[in-house]
Amino acid sequence: MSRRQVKKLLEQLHIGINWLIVATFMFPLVWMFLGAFKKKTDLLSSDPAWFFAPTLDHWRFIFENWHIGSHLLNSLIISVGGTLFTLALGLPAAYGLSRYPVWQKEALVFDILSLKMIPPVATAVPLFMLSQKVGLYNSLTLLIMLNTAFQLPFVILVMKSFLDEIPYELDESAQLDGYGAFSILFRVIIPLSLPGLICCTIFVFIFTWNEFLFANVMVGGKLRPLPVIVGLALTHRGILWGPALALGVVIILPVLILSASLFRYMVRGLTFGAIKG
Amino acid sequence: MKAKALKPGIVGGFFLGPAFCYLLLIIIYPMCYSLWASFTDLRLTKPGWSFTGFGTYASVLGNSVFRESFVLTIIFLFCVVVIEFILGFALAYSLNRMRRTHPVMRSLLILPLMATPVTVGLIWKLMLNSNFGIITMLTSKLGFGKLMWLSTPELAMISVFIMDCWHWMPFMFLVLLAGMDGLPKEPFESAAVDGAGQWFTLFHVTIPLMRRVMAITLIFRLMFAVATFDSVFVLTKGGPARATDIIALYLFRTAFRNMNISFASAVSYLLLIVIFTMVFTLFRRSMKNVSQTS
Amino acid sequence: MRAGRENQHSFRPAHRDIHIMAKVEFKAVEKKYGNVQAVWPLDLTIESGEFIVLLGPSGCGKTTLLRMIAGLEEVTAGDLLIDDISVNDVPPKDRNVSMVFQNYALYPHLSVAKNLAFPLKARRIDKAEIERRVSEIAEIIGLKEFLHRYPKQLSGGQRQRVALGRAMIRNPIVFLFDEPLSNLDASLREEMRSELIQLHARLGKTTIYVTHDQIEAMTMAQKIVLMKNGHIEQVATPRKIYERSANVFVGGFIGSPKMNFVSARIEKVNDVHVLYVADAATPLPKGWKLPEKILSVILGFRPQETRLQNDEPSDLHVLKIPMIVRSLQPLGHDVLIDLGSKDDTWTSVAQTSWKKNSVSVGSEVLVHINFSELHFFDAQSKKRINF
Repeated sequence: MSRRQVKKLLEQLHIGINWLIVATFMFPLVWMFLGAFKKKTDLLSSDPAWFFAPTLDHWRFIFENWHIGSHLLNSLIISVGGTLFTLALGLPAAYGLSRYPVWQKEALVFDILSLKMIPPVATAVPLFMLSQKVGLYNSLTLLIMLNTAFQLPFVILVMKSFLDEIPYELDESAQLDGYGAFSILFRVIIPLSLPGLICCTIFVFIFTWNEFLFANVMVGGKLRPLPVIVGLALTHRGILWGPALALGVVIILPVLILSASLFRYMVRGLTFGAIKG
Repeated sequence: MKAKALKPGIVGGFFLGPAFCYLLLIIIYPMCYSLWASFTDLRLTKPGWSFTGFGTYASVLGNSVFRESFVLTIIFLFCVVVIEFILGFALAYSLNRMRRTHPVMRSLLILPLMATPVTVGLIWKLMLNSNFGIITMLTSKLGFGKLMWLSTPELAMISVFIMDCWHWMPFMFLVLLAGMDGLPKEPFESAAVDGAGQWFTLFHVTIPLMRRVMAITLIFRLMFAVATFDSVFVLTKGGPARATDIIALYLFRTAFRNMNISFASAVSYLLLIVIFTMVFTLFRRSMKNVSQTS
Repeated sequence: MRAGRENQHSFRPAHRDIHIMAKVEFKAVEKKYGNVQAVWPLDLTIESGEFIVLLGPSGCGKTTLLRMIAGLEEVTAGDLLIDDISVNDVPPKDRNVSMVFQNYALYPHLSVAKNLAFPLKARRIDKAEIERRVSEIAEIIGLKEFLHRYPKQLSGGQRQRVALGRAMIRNPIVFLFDEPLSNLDASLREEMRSELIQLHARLGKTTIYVTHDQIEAMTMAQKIVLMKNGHIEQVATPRKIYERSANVFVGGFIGSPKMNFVSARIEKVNDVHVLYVADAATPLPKGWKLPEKILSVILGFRPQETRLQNDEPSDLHVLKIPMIVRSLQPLGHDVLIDLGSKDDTWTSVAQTSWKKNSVSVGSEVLVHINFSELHFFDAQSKKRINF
């Protein structure tokens, strides 16, 4: 074979191996999807059931017996509310940090980053007690507020990095024209930072949707969002795998669809804007 | 004459203010409470409290379960971050070298990272099940016999590693790939003209240029790894026999099962001290490195 | 309109009144960033309707002065007056000045029409009036067909015009330009220069223009303010700054190719003042007011004022310096001749018409300069001496 042919073959091999790796990573997800449609006997058999007759039993089960519909609604409310609230607080904060010589700016940025380093577990107990004192215990509002607090550092830092890229000349020009700070934020800055907004919205929504710890501890009964139900399903004496898998699919599907389709907005957010995507 | 303009610093303060106050209230205030509690013997199971000074900290450090969990966490952090880094770097390098990267490849690889951690635990709990888990079947076909992944202590820890690698390697991969794609072409072209081979280029051009990105990736991953909770909770709940009892799980149990607030607070703060020290030494060292190579 | 301004000075005159212009004054104004002195205390008066150019190398403070007028930088000390009223504490939006930025500062997410309308929207002018003004300005800048395009669809020159239009539409009392032509290619720059001159002639507004390009300054300015390191070196008309440069820096900065400089000495020998320069000793003209003691000077002469002859009939009003031709740079009609002194201690450049002076490398020539074209600078202070 000529050198060129060998090179081409190696290239194809290279691409093939990469696809193989991707496929390996996708396998667990695929396996779960398949499992959600397998009959109980197929799921629990000691031979992997590659081919099987699908069933919708588990799906019916989770909606009727576990009332997933209402829990789904809870998750939605918490995620949408949390996202809106976080953006409402975080956007102006990022704007202030990006465009104004705030007192001790570097120290503040540093402090915000430090907040992100605190594992939520460490704050769980005092927040638990505080929420009972304030009377917000066992409410969706509480979860919205807690999620907002823990996503805020992320949003502030990422949006700041996006805003820093908008030339300050645009602000100055608008200032000369007579626009005040608020107007500049809404008319100039926000339209120009749309990719950053999308990035933040996706991340905050997904992280809030996925949140388990506070959801588990702070609310109970009808107000539980979806991830908690998974936790419950698996700590049962006898685990109902079929419904559990179906539930898993319900939880994970919106996240996967959002991530895969809006992928190009997300790379930047992964490192809080520290590295340009 | 118009009114005097507000100093820009104050205007900025107005915008930053609400968020800052909110964070102060919801994160800082509980942390302060926690700090106070760590110097007492507060428990929710008995009324009243008294100051113990550093006594609670001493009992934490003296507690063998805590020490085991701490050591376990350190091992976990080290193994997981190193393995994920190497795999992530290798895959990123591999994709970076391909002439045309399929965009679908990258968007698929982000999925494990964003997947709900409890669901991640669920999937692996299914796959590693001793009776019908597909991985158990695979390993038995390979001649290992029927491995009890989740009920054998050593295997349980390995299960946690594998699950976490699957969950987080994409993070390393995506960030490192973004970094690699952003590298300038000139040093590589210059090296090629000078006759450098693939391995040489990798070690003497790519890696030095990637120093900053690699440092940031490692530091962030460490920050997230310490807080690992959801997936392991669902997978093993810390078992069997506390073999996978990483620090976040231990803290949760101490706080919410045992209701030992002062103890949990002390653990929290010890944890924070470790995290901050770790991040800052790494940060300081990486900044020195970067300024030396640039 | 101007008579009525006394106490109730408003910076928002009726927008229909086109011929509004203001006088700008700096009184002992200085600018410090922390401990760094960007602008030393200076005084400057810009008359209303003047086209004045702030010229100088990077870091000289010209942009800082401009931004202080706009209100984008705070005045550390001193008084900035617009139409005799101190505006130190007046925010930018109330000063009624317009600025054209170096990178145009167009809003990428707005169409040309919306970009032009943007300044008016802030002032709550009614929609019909905005539309009228937008089409009026679009006509003036020649972009009437482009009103619906977006900045990224426009060429550099077109973006430049939109920036200009946006500055004009508010009918400000002062126009500020921050190196607006530096991002354009040479031919476009020439075109825009002449358009800006015509615009000024038509609108008559006080215009303050910052540039580091002396050609722009010389061709456009009614007055040039040459700055260096936060100081004003000279304020004069282009002609005066060229012919009577205030010091060595000014002489060397203005004019292309650069002014030649050489050290010289003036001594009184037997009642006659003699100029000693590069091996040549020449008596100075009798009418000049010359000092008694030895004077060390720096002599300056422009390449364009040189003539290369082998010798002219002896003329008391001509300085002749023997030099050797080192290299030639043809410029079309003229040629630049690099010359070196016989002892190789200094070089100079001559510019003469190719036809009249055909020299070759290595040949010895006598450089003739009329005494009236010589610039004398004190060797110590570098300042101009007039005899």
